[in-house]
Amino acid sequence: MQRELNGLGLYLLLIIPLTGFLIFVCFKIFERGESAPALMAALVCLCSLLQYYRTDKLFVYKHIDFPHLQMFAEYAAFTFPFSISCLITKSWYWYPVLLAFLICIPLFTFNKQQRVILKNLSAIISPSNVEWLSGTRKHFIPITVLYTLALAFCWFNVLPLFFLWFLTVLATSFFIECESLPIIREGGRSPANLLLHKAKVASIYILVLYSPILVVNTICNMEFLVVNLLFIPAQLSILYFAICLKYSGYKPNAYQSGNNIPLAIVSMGSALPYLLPIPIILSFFYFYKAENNLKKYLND
Amino acid sequence: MISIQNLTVAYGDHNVLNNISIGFQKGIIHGIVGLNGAGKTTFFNVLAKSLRPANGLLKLDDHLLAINDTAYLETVNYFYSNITGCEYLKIFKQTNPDFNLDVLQDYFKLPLNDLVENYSTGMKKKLALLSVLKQDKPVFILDEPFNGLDLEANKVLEIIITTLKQKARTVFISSHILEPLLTTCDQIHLLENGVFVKTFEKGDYGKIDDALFGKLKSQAKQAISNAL
Repeated sequence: MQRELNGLGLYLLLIIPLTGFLIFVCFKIFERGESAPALMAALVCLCSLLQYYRTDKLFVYKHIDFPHLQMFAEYAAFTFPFSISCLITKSWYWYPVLLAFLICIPLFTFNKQQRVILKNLSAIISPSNVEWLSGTRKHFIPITVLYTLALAFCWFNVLPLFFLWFLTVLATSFFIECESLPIIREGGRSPANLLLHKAKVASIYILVLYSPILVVNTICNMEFLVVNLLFIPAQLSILYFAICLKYSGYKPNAYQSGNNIPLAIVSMGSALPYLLPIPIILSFFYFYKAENNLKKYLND
Repeated sequence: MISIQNLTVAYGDHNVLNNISIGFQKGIIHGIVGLNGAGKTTFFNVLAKSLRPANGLLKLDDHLLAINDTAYLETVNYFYSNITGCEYLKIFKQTNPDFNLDVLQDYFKLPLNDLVENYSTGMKKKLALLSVLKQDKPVFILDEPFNGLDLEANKVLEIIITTLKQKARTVFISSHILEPLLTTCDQIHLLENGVFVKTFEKGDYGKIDDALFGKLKSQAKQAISNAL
């Protein structure tokens, strides 16, 4: 649970108030009554989806005592905050119905094979930029939604910048996973060269993605010229920091979920103009740390 | 000649490799055997420059062994998430001019357009092996390459290893199972408590079992018969 929460990083700041809001909305729906069955059906569907997509099913069925009961308990706990309030409303009888459905879900043992989203993505993003290829595929839906929103509102003053900033925050999560030694050694780069190459790749992707939106935004809102000009360096500084932070603690094949917290803090800081020097200073500081750490793996 | 002089690797106070000095003939297949914890993987990690020794020199002919001299197939193969087998292979520049993926694919039959997460252990091993074979290096280090492979792939791997030798590459292999080493290796080196205690030539392979398991067999026979 703690690992999952750490993995959420910046999202946690959004998820907590959102969950509170949803619990309140659910209570209101139960109070009114007529939409209560639809809400319960939605909760059952959500748990069915979780059952379908969860990757630990085989392990749970094989190694955990009473696996069905265990899974039912998980789904009951997951739906509890949203459904329990119905007991104090006139829709109370839907709660046992929900539990009856939830108890059936673990009986479906279907196993899902992960599908390849965007099969030809490597034609656009080179496989040697493995973080970008993997990250784009992993977060394809949020990336598409955020970028589409930024495009749709590119004429509007600050709104597209907010979406693009969120996109940058998402891109920092690409640098949580450490590649294997053969991958990092491919190309025979020195530690400093490798870091500069990663920074160059990030700069190209950000420029290509963000420039059209910022140009339109500037044309529509000339008073935002300076803000838009500063926006790209600000976003790049977050990404440079993410790259340097990753390689400062690089260990082959490691997953650095602990980096989510400093990344979230720096990302938040970059949204406030007077805190902008922080990611830049930290990037320089971590560049030297990363260079020293990489010497262990890249130098003869 | 690959020569190793006074190689010591320690984890804390424990010396995993203990002042090893040995020479390995170039262009042949070397098997490394040893009981669990003998230091086989540590030795390979040092050869592949994945691990820095506390002391010692590793030389290939007259120069120090460099990262670029070795291609390393690790025991456990890690792949970045959300990439396909084909994309993984594309990460590595093809330096071996003879590498023909289509021909090897006829034997390996990997679903290269699927995500690597969906691969079985054997498939992952084959994919990692392909990425290693794509590179033209003088030294190939294969740690437990036969692990997880089916019978057919085992035989293909034996043929690959023999072909590498024909191309004058030096190959180091370790295996939990002696059988594939006996058929492929030109020399087998016994590693015991971080020291190479004996090198067996082809004619002496019959003695390996006793050298490796002699002590274990004599102790275990009595203990197990008492326990059962």
